[in-house]
Formats: sequence, C-alpha cells, structure tokens
Amino acid sequence: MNVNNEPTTIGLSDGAHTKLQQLKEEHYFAEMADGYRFAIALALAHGASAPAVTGGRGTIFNVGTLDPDRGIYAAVSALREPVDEPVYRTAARLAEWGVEELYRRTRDGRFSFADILSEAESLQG
Amino acid sequence: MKLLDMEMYNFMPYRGKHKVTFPADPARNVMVVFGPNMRGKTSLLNAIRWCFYGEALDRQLNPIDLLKIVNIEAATEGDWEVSVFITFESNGHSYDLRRVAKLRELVDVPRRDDDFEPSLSMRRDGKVLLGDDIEHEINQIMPSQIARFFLFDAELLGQYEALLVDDSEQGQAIKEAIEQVLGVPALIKGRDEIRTLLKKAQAVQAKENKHVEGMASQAEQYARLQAEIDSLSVDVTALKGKDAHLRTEIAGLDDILASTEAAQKAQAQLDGLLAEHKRVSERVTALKEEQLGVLQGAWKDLLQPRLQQRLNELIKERDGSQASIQERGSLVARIDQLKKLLSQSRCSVCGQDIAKARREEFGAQLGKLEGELTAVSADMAKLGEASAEISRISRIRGVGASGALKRIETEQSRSAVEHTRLEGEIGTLRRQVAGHDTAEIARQRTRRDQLMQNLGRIQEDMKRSEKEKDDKVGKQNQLSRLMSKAPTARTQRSAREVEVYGVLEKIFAGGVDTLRDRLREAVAAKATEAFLKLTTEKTYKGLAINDSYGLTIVDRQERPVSVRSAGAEQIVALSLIDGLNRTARKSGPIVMDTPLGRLDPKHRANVLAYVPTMAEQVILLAHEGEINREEDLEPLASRIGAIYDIERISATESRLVREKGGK
Repeated sequence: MNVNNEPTTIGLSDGAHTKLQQLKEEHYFAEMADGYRFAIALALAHGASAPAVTGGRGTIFNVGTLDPDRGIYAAVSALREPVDEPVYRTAARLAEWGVEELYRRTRDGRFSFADILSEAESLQG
Repeated sequence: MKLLDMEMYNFMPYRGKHKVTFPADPARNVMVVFGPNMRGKTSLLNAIRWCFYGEALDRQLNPIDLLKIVNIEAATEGDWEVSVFITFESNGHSYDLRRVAKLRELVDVPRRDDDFEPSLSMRRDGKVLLGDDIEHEINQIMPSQIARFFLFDAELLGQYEALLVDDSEQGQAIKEAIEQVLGVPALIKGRDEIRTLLKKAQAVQAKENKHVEGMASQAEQYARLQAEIDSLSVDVTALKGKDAHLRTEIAGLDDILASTEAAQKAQAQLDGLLAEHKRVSERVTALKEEQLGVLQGAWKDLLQPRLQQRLNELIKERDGSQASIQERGSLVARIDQLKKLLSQSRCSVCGQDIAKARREEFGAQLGKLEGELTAVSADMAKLGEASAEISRISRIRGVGASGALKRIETEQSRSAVEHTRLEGEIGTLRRQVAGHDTAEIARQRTRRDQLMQNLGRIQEDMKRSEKEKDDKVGKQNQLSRLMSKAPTARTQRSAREVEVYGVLEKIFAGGVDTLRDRLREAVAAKATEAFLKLTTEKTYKGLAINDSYGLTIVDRQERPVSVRSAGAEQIVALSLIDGLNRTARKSGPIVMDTPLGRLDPKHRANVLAYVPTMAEQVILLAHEGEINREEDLEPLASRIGAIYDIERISATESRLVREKGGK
C-alpha cells in the first residue's frame, strides 16, 4: 500500500459522530479520540467487516494527532482483510462500526469495559 | 415511716379514683406491683413523690409539668382536678397528707402550671397542721433531699458512679444528700453558729483593744483584715450569684437541648453521612478519572488477542523463510555443478560420453533447482516484510487495562450501592431535621459550652477568694489569740468569750470530721455486708469508701476492681443505699422502680432474697420480664404482703387490681 495515498484526516458519518460526541459527554471517554481508537479496536477484535460509510462524513481528526506512533495504522494493516484501500480509510469504516456498537451497548444499561475486554479474549480463545 | 394507703384521682394513667393499700404486717413487708411498660408503674412512684414533695420526675429526673400529670382522658372531658391522698405513720403518730391541684377560677383550659391552684393539707393524729408547719413536718419525717434513697428508679442507680469522680457536680449533690440522711448537717450547723459567735467576739475584742496600750497596732491590723475579709465575702457572694445565674441559664439550655435531642442526633448523623457521602463522591470521581486514563490506552489491550494470533503467524512465516534461505548456498552449488556437466559432452571423471537420456535428466534437475532458487529469493523478500511487521505489531503493547478496569468497575459498583444507601439515609434524616432550626440548636450548644467555661472560671475565682479569705481569717485568729494572751486583755469579757468560743469551735470542727469518718466507716461496713449477700462473685472481699461516699469493689488481695458491669454497678448502688438506710437517723419505705432490669438470674435471686430486710416496707414496681411471678416470687412468698397488677383500659388509662388471696 502506498503510504502517500493515505488520507491526512479521518472521520465518521454525521450519525456516528453525534453518538461519539454523546459518549464523551456521558463520560465514557475523556476525549473523542479515545473513543474513536477504542471503536476501531473493538471492530478489529470482533473481526467486523465494516461496510462503506454512507451519509455525510465529517472530518474529526487529523491522522497525525489520532495516531501519533502509527499504532492504529500497524494494527489495522496487520488485521484487516487484504483490500485495495488506504489503511486509514479502513480504520474509519471500522470506527463507524465500533462507535455504533459501543453506543448500542451503553444504552443497554449494563455496560462494562472490562466485559468488552474479556469478550475480546474469548473471541480468540 | 410506714405507708398505710394511697388514693389517687386523675393521676397520670389512673383516671378517677384508685386506691392502693400498702402492707402493714412487718412479717409480710414486701409489695409487688406488676405492670407492662408504659402502663403506670413509674406513675405510682411519682404519685408518692408528688404528694410529699409536689413534684413528679421523668426518666431524666426533670420535673413533669402539671399539665402532663392530669389524666389526659379526664382532661379531655374538662375534669382538670388531680389529687393524691396518703395515710402513713411515723414516730408513733398517724398522718394523712393530701395534695390537690385544681384549675384556677376563670381558667377553662390550662396552658401552664400557673393555671392550676395547688393545695396541701395534713393532719397529725387527727389535728390539722397549717401552712409552713406541713412542710416542716415533712422535712422532719423525710426531707426531699433524702427521698432519692427511698423512692428511686433502679435503672438510674448508675448516677452513684458520680461519687467516684472528684469534683463532679452530680457527685457533690449526692454527697450532700447522703450527709443529710446521715445527720452531718446538724453538727455542721452547730459549728457554723459557734464560728459566727467567735467572729463577733473577736470583732468586739479588736474594737476594745484599739484603746489598750500596746494592742492598738494588732487591733488595727485585725480591723484591716476584717475589711479585706468583708470585701472578699462580697466578692464570693457576687460570684455565687453569678454561679447560680449561670447554672440556671445552663439548665434552661439543657432543657431546650434535651427537647431537641432527637433533632440534634439526627443532625449529627446527617453531618456524618454528608461527610461520608462527600468522601464516596470524591472516590467515585477519582475512579472515573482513573478509568478515563486507563481507557486512553485500552484499545491496545482490546487488540492484543488478535495481534498475538497474527504475531504467531508472522513468526512462523519468518522462521520458514529463514530455513529456506539457509538452503540457498547448497542450491546454487548444485545448479553450478549441473550447468558444468551440461556444458561438457564427456564425463570429466571417467572420460566416457554422457548419454543423451542422462543429459535430459540433468537438464530437468537444473530447471527444478533454478525454480527453487527463485522461490528462495521471494522468501527473502517475505522475511523482510514479516520481520518489519513483527516489529510494528510488537510495539503495540497493552497497558494492563483488563485488570485495572475490572478493579475500577468493581469498586465503582460498590461505591454506587454505597452512594444510593447514603442518599436514602440522608433523605430520611433531612426529613427528621426539617422544621428544626439546627443552626439555632448549634448556637445554643456553643452558648452552653461557653457558659460552662465561664462557670469553670467563676468556680476557680470562688475557690481562690475563699482560700484568700480563709488565710486572712487564720491570720485574724492568730492576732486574736495574741491579743487574748496580753496581760491587759485577760480581764476583758470579749477575750474570755473569744477563748471559750475558740475552744468550742475546735471541738465542733473536730466533731464534724470525726462524725464523717465514723459514718463513712459505718456506711462502708453495712454496705459491704449487703454487697456480700447480693454479689455472686466470691472472690470479692467487700467495698471501700472514698471521701465522697463513692464505693469501689475490693478483691481478696485488697485490690480495687476498677471495671464493673451495669449489673455490678446496680448491686453496688443498692448496697450503698442499704448501708445509708441502716446508718441513717431517718428511714422510710423503699419504693423501687424496675428493680431487677439489669441483673442476671443469680443476682436477681440474691436481690429478691435480700429486699425484705432492706426496710420496714419494700415496694417493687416491676414487669413480668424482670420478676417471674411463679418462680421468682416463690422463695419470697412468706414475705409478700400484697401483689397488684396494673391493667390496661386504653392507651391512656390503666387501673390497679389487687391479686386475690391471703396476701
């Protein structure tokens, strides 16, 4: 993959953006970037095949700010299905799935980050 | 004194007329009144108190308003009259005493005690006593100060512990009452009267010596001291006035604080819970912050299982590539060898021609090996990629979020439960304190503390002034003795009076100390006698008495037993009361409320066996949980003169029923 083709900003659909903002306001995360990274990891952990994002896509983060040590880049590259698409574009699709999933779970009332981590272990177990 | 009978009218739960006849037979001198809680046992004790002394006391020993003494049902129907009529014998005389309180004219519904018109009447041997004579007669028979040793709530006997505390106000009041019982004040009064006469004689002597040659300076010094003493006396009187004023104010505040005790307790609890709530809230915030901090890196932990799996695949791939790369050297050598063979027509070793079929075989081998060499080159590229990816993945290290989040969430959940509990309790307490001005209560409490401090300072000042005064009186006495010894003074009448009163004062003062010591010894001996019969602990030797009549248990090694239970406290207090009654000049019937509440079965049996000997009449006001009518009274059966039951008519009305039978 040609790194030079990678986008310099990354974001979410309007709907997911609102939900991530709400998660931050409800103190699930200190910053939206924390929630965004967690959402990407959640999608990767679940092996989610995130569909292409429909609807408006707002720019939320500068890639350099979101992924300063390129850990997200490395993880997405290592774990995504082979696809001819910039890595951060895949990351954005995964984030979309992850934010929706997190939002859904937080509405259930019995939400636990520890449970999400345990679940990720059992998925590979 | 022996009680004969008592008739109450509208007294507390006893609506209308109710009569109690006390046991008159000395051989059957015990009366037991059974009644459940809240039915009117203590009211019987209060009826006797009220009739004799005009006051009924609650469980905190505070006077009960007349408004609360009148039976509520009778009052509701407009009958506000209350009375108690007691007949009794004392010192060979028969008495009847009647105390009545009626509404004053023009008062329909009383609002305060002043709306009642109280009256007291007494007859001795059928003759009517008038006005102050009645109170004087009661004081002769049974002064109110000593009634505490005859009419008492056994649950409150713990107050005698105060006698063991130096300078305790309550202890001082009890000590004074004890000395009243024992008759010490009579001797003290005698000593004080002689002291007054001595002072007067000394003053006359000093006045006369002003004109006697050689005595003028002593007389002058005496007069100066007298002026200083007078000034100090004025100071002490003023301080006593302040002391009394402060005590009244403190008592008033105590009453207010006692009436708001429940609200104060609730407020104190509320303050505690609010502090606890704040602490839990701070912990919740700290946990949230910690959780948010952990979540910054938690995405790496979330990926670890999959990354680890990918890492394992890459390591395997890398190892495979490395193995094939290691075979590259031999592959190249074999290719070179085959190429060389194919470039020749004869074998370089045996010199024979290489057969066509053989050459084809070499060609095929060469092609295969060259293919393998190409694959190895690809592996080399793969090895680089795999190594680079391993390196990138290895840098994504978890932050231990799983364990940290589990711990945080467990604690968060616990804190949330705690938070909910606290909020519930806080809500309940807020409702309890609502309507109370807790700030005003706090202000009154602070005011009381300040007044207590002022009282302490005034008492210190009083002590200092009294000491200064005593020192000056001592100097005056010395001067007076000097003046009496002077030859010119010997013929003076005042000098002779000073001499006589001085000797008498010494005799009386010594007498007071001697009497106190002897009485203390007597009380200690008699209390020990009672204690050894009442206690179940055989290793105790007896009781030791202090200057304030406080009693301490002593074991066989003469060591004081400092720790004692509520039961032991009650046994010691009963022993003290018995010791006092046996040493006292005056004695009366013992009316004991809740006598056995704090005692275990063995102590209960001991007390019940002992009570008939405690006084000429013993009246026990008990509930059936304290005294088992069948088992506990059986050994006492021959001493029981009467048994009454208090029966419930309604929540605010009871009646007394005498048990039928020979008693």
